[in-house]
Amino acid sequence: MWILTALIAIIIMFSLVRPDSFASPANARNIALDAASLLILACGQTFVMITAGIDLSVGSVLIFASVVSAKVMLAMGGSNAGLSAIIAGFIVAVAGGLIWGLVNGAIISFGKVPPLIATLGTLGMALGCAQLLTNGVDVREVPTVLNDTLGNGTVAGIPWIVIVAAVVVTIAGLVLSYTRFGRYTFAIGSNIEASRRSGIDVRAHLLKVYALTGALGGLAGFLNVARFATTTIAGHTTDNLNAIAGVVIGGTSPFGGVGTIVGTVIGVFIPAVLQNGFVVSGVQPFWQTVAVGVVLIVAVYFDIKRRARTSK
Amino acid sequence: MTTFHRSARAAALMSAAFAIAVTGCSSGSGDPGVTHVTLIQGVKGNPFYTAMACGAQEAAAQLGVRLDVTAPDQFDASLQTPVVNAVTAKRPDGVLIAPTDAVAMRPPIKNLISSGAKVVEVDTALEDTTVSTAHLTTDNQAAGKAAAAKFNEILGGKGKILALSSAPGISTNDERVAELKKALTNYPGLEFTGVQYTKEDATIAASVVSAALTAEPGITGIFSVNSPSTQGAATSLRNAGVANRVKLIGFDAGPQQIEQLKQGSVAALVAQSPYQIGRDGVQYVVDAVAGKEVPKSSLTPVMVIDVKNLESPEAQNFVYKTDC
Repeated sequence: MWILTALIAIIIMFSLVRPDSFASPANARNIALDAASLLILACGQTFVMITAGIDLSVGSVLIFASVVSAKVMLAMGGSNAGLSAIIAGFIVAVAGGLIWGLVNGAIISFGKVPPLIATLGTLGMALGCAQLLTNGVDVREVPTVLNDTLGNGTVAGIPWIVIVAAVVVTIAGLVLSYTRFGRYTFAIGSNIEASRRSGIDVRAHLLKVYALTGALGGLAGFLNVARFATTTIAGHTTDNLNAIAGVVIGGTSPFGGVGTIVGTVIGVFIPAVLQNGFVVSGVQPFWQTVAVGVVLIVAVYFDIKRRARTSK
Repeated sequence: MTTFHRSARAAALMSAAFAIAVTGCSSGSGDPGVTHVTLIQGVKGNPFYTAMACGAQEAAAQLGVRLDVTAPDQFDASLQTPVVNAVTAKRPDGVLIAPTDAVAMRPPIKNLISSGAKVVEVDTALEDTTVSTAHLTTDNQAAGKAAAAKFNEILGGKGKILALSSAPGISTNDERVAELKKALTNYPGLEFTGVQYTKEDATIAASVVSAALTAEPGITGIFSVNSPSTQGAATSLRNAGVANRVKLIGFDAGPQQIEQLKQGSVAALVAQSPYQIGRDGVQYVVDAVAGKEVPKSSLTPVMVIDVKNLESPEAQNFVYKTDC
């Protein structure tokens, strides 16, 4: 796990440069909070990339889910809406994400359209639908209760959103490592033809993997509404690339068949810690973009080296 | 196996060394006596914010405060929030910020204030005006009015006008367009044909303008409220071969916009005073830290620049200084 060593080295380094501000519990909480939503997207992306696929639509699916969820909560009372509206908003968000995931999965597994193209198409479709529903104007009437609890509240000092992300990560990690669903995911990414011949229903499984990623995008969309109290339609344009970068930095092979959720967690935290550390140390913001690019290429370089070694 | 591990460890050390080298460049001393101020721009690398940083730098040098400047990659609340959180961890005495969303940026800014920082909003603002200590912005209403008057002059009192804005919900841009629309009703020959959104992306602006010209060939004036849109619109007009017929009024007076003005691809520019916003903003935040009273809300002037008045000393004052 050289990537873990790199993360620890980065943390130690910033702690030495700025012991009073970087290495504080409040700052650790902030970094976790900022990484939480991306972490949820990256969990789904890990499954997709292990099948040798890719999902570019996650950011748009997040926006779409935010919009339908906020619209439903608006219809059920807006800022003053209660628990029933929030539950409805949650269900609608996850369902909205799930629908786009199913669309992706169906186009890819039954339509045989390459994942890159299929999800590039739904990236535009989901965002366009979100803009159509709102006429391009953010929905800002979000239940205050939701914003104060799930969005910005804490339990024993830990933000709710971080707890949700931790639960998602744990479940995703267990599913990937210990269930048949996880084994099928690896099998398809290693050798799709062999998987088919050994009796795995490849098309049904791919459909499920993309549906899962969509549903997680929906969950992230709900958390987004809860946190920002608006739908941020113009935002999240680089979430897809950031999630992919995190997954790849974490050791998931862009060629499929290899990957872990633990790696993804580390891979998402490296850019998050770098950005926070650079700002805290007062480094010119442009450096952060450079640094993340370097880490990404180094990570893929080692993936290719490892593949060459194992195939020898 | 062993070689792999050795090189892996080397790579980990390399990345750490790289990061140390980078942070080493600018990590100053943590003098307890010095006032620390951070400017959080709306987006990296926009001349408007660069000029604002220059103004802030000048005031910081005069007042003997330490100034850091930081910004998100895009004008996006989900990207600016982590930046604000990181600044909060630094516990600065004062912060100047251009919020990227009037609602979404409220929780992180409130959090920043509760950590003890005085916050002054520059350019854009939160919807909830009770959060920050002060707000400095361009007189956006005057900007919209001035653009309408200029269109009346250059179009000879007759024509259809399209507005280009970045995205709905950005207080400053909305105000400029709304005021233009209102002011155009004073000129019976001029007609407002609507607003198109470009996400501050020159490529999107170019295609939006091409489409709008096809849909409404009678358009003779375009008002663009941000510089990437102006650039895209100018390209599109040139490609369509109608640059002589359709007059473009842009926003901001950075080096590139001035170049466009000299070339004639832009008829006029509405220049803001980012340098003054940055300079006064630092002054306000330092006063607020010292416990002095500061004005809650202030407007900075605009000026319409064209080739005729470009060389005048007054116009030269409004041209953005981006090297400091």
